[in-house]
Amino acid sequence: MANGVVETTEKSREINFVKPVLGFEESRIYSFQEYKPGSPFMWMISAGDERLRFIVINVFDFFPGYDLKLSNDDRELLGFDEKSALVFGLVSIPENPEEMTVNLAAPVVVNYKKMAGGQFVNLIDGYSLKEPLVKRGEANADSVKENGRKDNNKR
Amino acid sequence: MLILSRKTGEKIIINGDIEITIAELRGSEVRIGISAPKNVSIYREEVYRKVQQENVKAMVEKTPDLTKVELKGKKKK
Repeated sequence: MANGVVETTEKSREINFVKPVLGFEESRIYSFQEYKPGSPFMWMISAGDERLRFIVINVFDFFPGYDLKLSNDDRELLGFDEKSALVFGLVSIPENPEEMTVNLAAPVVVNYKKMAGGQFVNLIDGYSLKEPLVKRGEANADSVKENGRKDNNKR
Repeated sequence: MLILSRKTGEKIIINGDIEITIAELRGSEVRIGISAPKNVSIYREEVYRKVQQENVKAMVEKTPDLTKVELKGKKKK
């Protein structure tokens, strides 16, 4: 997969969401923008309503062994291929940012070649909707491999 | 809510391009076939709700300060 560095020239380009962020079906265009220079975080902001915004990370930066499977229909819809797709995880930040988690079960996948993206439920079981992102939260490190998948949830 | 009675193998057409087929009955379980355009999102309700709830939590209202947290992974830019 691509290494996920969004070039400066691309940072404000708008991505057409062929599948919506669930619960926010009316917003179909998002742009990805820098959070802070050098930060692994990025903004994903709705073009229609800037109050609708999320913090995302490139999943492979944190979970290099992450594996994603989409249905054939979704692959086709997105023009998905391993070389051009970027996989972002929506980050959930509670009051104490140390407890922040990332959604690996339903990532946002973007094909920059087609400027198309969407949120897709990973067909591979065992990925968490709330995978801890902070080092201190590694109490369960034994059961989490570098791909972010829990062994005990395997079929 | 509209409620229709259907036999196994019978269908319902929605909007001209969504076809719901009652595929099989197994006791209290019903197997349903759905054919729809690719851009139509179809999820089991409980999956949809879980993802939706997590998305609502992920929505950012106030810009958080993330400069102090120490993150997992090897990446250092």
